[in-house]
Amino acid sequence: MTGILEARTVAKHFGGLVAVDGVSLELRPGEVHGLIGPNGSGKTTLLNLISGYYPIDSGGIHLSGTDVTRRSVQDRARSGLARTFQTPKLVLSLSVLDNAMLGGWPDVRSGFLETAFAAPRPRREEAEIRERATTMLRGVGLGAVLERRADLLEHTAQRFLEIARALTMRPKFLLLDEPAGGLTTAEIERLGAIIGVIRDSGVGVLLVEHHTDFVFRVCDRVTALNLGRTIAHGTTTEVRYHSDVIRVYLGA
Amino acid sequence: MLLVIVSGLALGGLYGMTALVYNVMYSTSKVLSFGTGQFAMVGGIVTAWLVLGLHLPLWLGFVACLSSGAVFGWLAELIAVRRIVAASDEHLWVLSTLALSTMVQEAMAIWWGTDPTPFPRVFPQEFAGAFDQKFWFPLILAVLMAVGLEQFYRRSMIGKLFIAMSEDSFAARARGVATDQMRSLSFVLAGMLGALSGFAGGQLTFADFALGTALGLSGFIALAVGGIGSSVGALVGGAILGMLTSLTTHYFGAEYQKTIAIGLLILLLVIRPQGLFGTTRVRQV
Amino acid sequence: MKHHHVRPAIVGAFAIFAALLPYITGNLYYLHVATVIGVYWVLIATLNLLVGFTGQLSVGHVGLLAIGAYAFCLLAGGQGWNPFLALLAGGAICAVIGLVLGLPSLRLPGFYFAMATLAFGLIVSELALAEQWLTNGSVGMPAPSFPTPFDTPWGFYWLVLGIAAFVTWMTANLARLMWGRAMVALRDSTVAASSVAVPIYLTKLMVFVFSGFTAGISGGLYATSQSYITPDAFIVNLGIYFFVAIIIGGRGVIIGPFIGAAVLAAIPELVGPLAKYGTFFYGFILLIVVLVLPGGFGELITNLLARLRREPLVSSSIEPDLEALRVAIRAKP
Repeated sequence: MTGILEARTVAKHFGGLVAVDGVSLELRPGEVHGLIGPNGSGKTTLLNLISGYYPIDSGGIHLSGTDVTRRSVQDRARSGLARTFQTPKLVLSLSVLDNAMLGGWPDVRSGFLETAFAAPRPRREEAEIRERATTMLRGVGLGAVLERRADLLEHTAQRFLEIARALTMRPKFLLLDEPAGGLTTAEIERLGAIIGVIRDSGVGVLLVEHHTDFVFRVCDRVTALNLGRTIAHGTTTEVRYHSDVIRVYLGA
Repeated sequence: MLLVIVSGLALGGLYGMTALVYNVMYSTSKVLSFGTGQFAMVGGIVTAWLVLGLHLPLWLGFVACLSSGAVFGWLAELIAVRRIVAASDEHLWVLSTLALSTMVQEAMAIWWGTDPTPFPRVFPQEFAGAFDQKFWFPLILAVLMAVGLEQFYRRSMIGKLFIAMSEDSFAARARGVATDQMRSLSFVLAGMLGALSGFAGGQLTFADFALGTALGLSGFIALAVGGIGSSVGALVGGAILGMLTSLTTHYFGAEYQKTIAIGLLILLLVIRPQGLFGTTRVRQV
Repeated sequence: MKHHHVRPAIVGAFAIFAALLPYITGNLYYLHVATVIGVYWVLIATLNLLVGFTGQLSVGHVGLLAIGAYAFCLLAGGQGWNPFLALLAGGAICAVIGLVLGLPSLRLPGFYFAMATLAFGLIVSELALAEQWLTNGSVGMPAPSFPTPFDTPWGFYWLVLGIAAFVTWMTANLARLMWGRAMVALRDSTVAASSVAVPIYLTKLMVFVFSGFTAGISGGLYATSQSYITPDAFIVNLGIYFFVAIIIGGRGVIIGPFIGAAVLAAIPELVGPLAKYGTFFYGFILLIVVLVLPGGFGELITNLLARLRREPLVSSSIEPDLEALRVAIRAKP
C-alpha cells in the first residue's frame, strides 16, 4: 500500500445535505486520475476532504500507507500532498517568484531566530528554493514575469502560477481543482502537456474537471461522481462509454 | 450590599445596551465598530452641555441627544463602513472605525475638556441610595431596549430585513433589498440607541470624554459573553459583567475593574467562544 | 521580495547621516527627539512584523512598553542590576507576557484580538497606577542611566542607534527570507499559507513573542530617555500612535513604517502650540489612509517606482519549458 493516495468510503454531509456519500478512490504515482461529475456531484468537496480543509464524517484517507484522516492541512502538505484551487489562492501582494517560493516552505528547517540572525542555513535554503521555484516557473512558462506582482497577472497566468507553487513543494500527489477554468483551447493544450510531464515524473495527479474532453484525453483512469456517489470508475475508455456516465451527461 | 447589587445591575444595564448597539450594527454589516461606545459619550455630553451649560429644558436636551446619536451613526456608516464593506480586506473596518472613534473622542476632549462633568437629574430627587434614579434608569431602559428591539426584529418589516441581511447579505441584495440604505438605517438606529443609553446612564457615568473607549470595551465583553446576535445574551452578558465589576470594586477596590473584566473575557473565549447564547463561530484556528 | 528591499545605497547614506547626527546638529533638543524616535522604532520595527506582515492588529503594545520600562527601572535602579542585564531581563519578561497574552487571543478573529490587546493596554496602565507598592503609583520612579560612555545625550543616542540598527537588521532578515513570505501569506490568504504547510497559529505566536521582547527593551531605553517614568506616559493613545505609524507607512515594508514613525513624532513639533490635537490628527491620517490608500505610503512609493520602470501590464504569452520541468520534477530526494 505504499506510495498510494487512498480515500476509503469517505462521507461528508452539511446539515441535511449529503455532499459525499461513501466514495472510494485510489490515486497511484505516475498516473493522471480524472474526477468528473455534474455540478453538485461532490467533486470539490471530495478534494477538500482529501486535502484536509473539511473534516470527514466517516471513512478514511491514507497517504502512502499512513492514516491522515484526522491530520491537519499542514501535516498532509508536509507528507507530500499539494493542490490548486478552483479560484487561485495567491498572495496577491507578493511577486510571482515569491508566490512560487512559498511552495518551498515544507522543506524549510530554519527556525525563527535563526532566520532573524541570517544564519547560513536559512540563506542556503532561500537560495535552493529560489532556484527550484524559478525552474518550475520557467517550466510552466512564467519565466518572463518572475518579478511581477501576482495581482497584475492575468487569469491564466495565475492558474499556472498556482501549479508552479505546488510543484515547488516536490509533492508525491497533486490535486488540481478545475485548472482549465477560463483557459483558451491553446492554453488547455499547454496545460495538458504540463500535466503529462508531471505524470511522467512519477507524481500522482488527481484532476477535477468540467471539460470532459480534456479529462478523457489526459487521464489514465477516471472516477465519475453524481450526487455524491461513484457511478463509474476505471480506465478512461471504460468510463467514457459507461452507460450511466453517458446518461448523466447526455444533454449536459 | 443592596447598593452593590443595584449598582452592579445598573452598570450591567449600560453594558447590555452597548452590546445591543453592537448587535444592531453587526446585523446589517458584519462590522463590529470600535466606536460603539462613542455614541453614549456624545449623547451624554450633548445633553449635559445643553441642559446644564445652556440651561435649556430637559426634553430639548433629550431630543438633541438622540439626534446627535443618529447623526453620528449616519456619518459613521457613510465614512468608515460603506466603502470598506465592499472591499475584500475585512480588517480595514477595524482600522477605519478605530480611526473615527479616536477622532471623535479627541475632538470631544478638545472641545468639552477632559474633566468628567455632572449630568442633569431627570426627575427631581432628594435622596440617595439604592433607589437613586441613576441606577434604575439604565437598568429599566436596558430591558425596555432589548424587548423593543426583539419586537422590532419580529414584527416590523425593516426589522425583518435586518435579520435577512445578517443571515445572508448577498442573497438579500439579490432579492432587491437596498443594502446600503438598510445598513445606513441600522447605524442611525444604533447611534440613537447608543445616545439613549448615554442619556440613561449619564447620572452614573457623568459626561466624560473617556467614556467611549471604556464603554466600547465593556460593551464588547458583554457582547462576547452573551453571544453576538442575541438580545437576551446582551442583557445577561451585561448583567454578569456589571455584577462582577461591582463586587470586585466593593471587595478589592476600583483599580482592578478592567483586569477582572478582561479575565472574564479570556476565560469565556477559551471555554465557550461563541458566548452563552450565541451561534456565530468565533474560533478561527 | 526584491521590490521590498531597501536599496543598500539609501540605507548606507541614512546610516551615516544618523550616526553623525550629534555633530550635524548641536541642538540637544533635536537629539532628544531623534533618540525617542529611535527608541520607539525598536518597538515599531518588530510590531511591524506583527501588524504589517502577519496582519495581527495589536493596539495595546504600549502595555509591553510600560512593563519593560518599569522592569528596567526596578531592576537596574532599585535592585542595582547592571543596566544592560536589566534591559535584557525586561525584554525577556515582556516576551513571556507576550506569550501569555498571545496564547488565548491569537486564536480569535481580528476584532476580538484587537479588543483583547486594547484591554491589555488599559489594564497595564490601570495596574501601574494601582500597584503603588511596585510602581509608586502616580508618583512614578526615576530611571537609571547607562554606564559611561552611554550616560551623555550623544552617548545614549548612539546606544539607541546601535540597538535600533540591530533590530532593523533582524526584521529585514526575517522579511526577505522564507519566514517573511510565510508571514505575508498568513496575512493575505490563510488558505494558501495552509496549503504550503505554514503553521498559522504558531507563526503568529512566534512573531507576537518576538515583538514583545523588543517592546520590553524599547521600554527600558524609553525610561532612560525620559529620566523619569510615570503611568500617564503609557496611555493607550501612544499605542495607537505605534499602530498608525505602521499602517500609514505601509504593511509589509520596512522603510515605510520608519518614515511613518518619524513623521508622526514630528507632528507634535510641527503643530507646536496645537500639540494637543496630536492624537486627533493621528486618527484623521489613519482614516484617510485606510479609505484612500490602504497599502499605506509604502505601497504608493512602490507603485510609483513600478510605473517609472514602465512594466508592461499585458502579459507575454506563456511558453512552457517542458524539458526543464521534466528534469526539475524528477530531481526529488
